[in-house]
This record gives sequence, structure tokens and C-alpha cells, in this order.
Amino acid sequence: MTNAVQEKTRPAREVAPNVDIFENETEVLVVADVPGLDPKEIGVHVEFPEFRLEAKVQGGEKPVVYTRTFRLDERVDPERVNAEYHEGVLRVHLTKSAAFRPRRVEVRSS
Amino acid sequence: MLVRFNDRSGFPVFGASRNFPVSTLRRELDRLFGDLERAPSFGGLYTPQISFEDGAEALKLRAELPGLTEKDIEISVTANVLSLKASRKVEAPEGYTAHRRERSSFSFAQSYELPTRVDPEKVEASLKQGVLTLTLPKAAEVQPKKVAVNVAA
Repeated sequence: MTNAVQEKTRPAREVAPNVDIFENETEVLVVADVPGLDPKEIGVHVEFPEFRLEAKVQGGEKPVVYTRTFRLDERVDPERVNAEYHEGVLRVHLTKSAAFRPRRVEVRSS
Repeated sequence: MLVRFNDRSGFPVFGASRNFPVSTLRRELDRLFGDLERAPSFGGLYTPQISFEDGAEALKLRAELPGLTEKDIEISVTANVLSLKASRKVEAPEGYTAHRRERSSFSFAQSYELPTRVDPEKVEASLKQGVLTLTLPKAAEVQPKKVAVNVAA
């Protein structure tokens, strides 16, 4: 007997890539090891307060899904996120809102 | 029967997957409890994900080496031994403070005894988006040959 409905999806192996997170005065930088991707296949989703990396690699015996989710705090401006991908390493720059960047205040003497 | 070289016992030493649930757990626990025992155990043992494939005409190796350029990889091949060396140094960018460091520096060197003889002159290597692909065409004497059947008169 065969089933009327057959499973077509292949189970993907889910991988949480290793990441480094750095911060300076103007931005938070997330660096992830995600080798072998087509840059078009990389999803960087910011759904405040969540920040999610997601990418799917086809081929091999099983498709691989790279995924990692973080919580952002209000210092990050969700509109100003940009990402670059070189040599299998993804770098996501999360720019801090102007209000949370340190501003140097000049002290004037009268 | 032809044995796939994935199945040969003792060959090759596959990199322990860094993504085994148990290592993810370990990482999360490390994060939770801080660097209580940040022994060099894990960093030193880091092995890239490497897989092998025995094709009809060539052996293939695929290694995940994110962040590496051609200069960081050294490959040498004889008729039956493949040596692979790779290293990377992960440094914090200048002026940044680190909140989380999971990407490790590593220095990896491994030699593999190949299951069939290959033609070292024809070996090709390419590095694309952190994935190294090596194609090692099998030597002429191990390539399959077609045997013609003569019809006796």
C-alpha cells in the first residue's frame, strides 16, 4: 500500500554557525562562519527585537540550514543594518541609534 | 567489491563535526558558566569539516575553511598521499570590544593515505567562499577499462 500523500521535503541539517560579536562606539558587529553560500541565499532578518541569520545550502546528501537568532536591545537602529560576505565569512554591521552613541561634550569656559 | 574510501577503517580521520548537538551543548554551557576552564583543549583540536567522495574517475575532497585565502592553505600530493595544511588567525577588529568569541583560530595539518593511486600532475584545487574543493584524478592504471568481447568464429 502506498500513501496518498508522500513526503517530498528532505530533512535539512540545522547548523548553528559560530559567531563573534564585537561592539564599538558606533556599531555592533556580528561575524559568522558560514562557508559555501551564494550571497543571494543569505537572509539577515531584523524583526525588532529579534535579529536572525538564516541561509540554506543545497547539495551534498542533505541540505544544510544555518540559523542563529539574537535579541537586540534598543541601542541598535533596525533600519541601519548592512551585511557583507567574503571568503565564507558573513559580517553584519548593526548601527547604533544616534541617541546611544557617545557624544563628547565640550566644556566652555566663560 | 569496491570499498568506498569513506568506509575504510582508519581512513581518513574525519574531522569531528563541530556541530554535533553535544558540542553545541558544551558551547552553550561554556557561555552560561563563563570561561571557567578555557583549556586549550577545544581550540587546539579544532578540525575543519572535511568530506571525501570516491567518484568513477577522481577522488574529491571538500573542506570548509571559512575566512581563509589561498595563502593560508598548503596542499601536497604524491601518487598515494595527500597532505593538507591550513591555518587561520581570528583577531578582534581594532577598536572593538568583544562580547562573544566562538570563531577560533586554528592550525590544521593532516595527511591522508589515498585508496587508489592518483595522478599528482592533474590534481586541481579551488577555493570559493571558504570552501576548498580538491579533485584528484585517478591514475591511468586504475581507471576503468572497457573489455571487448571477441566473438569466436
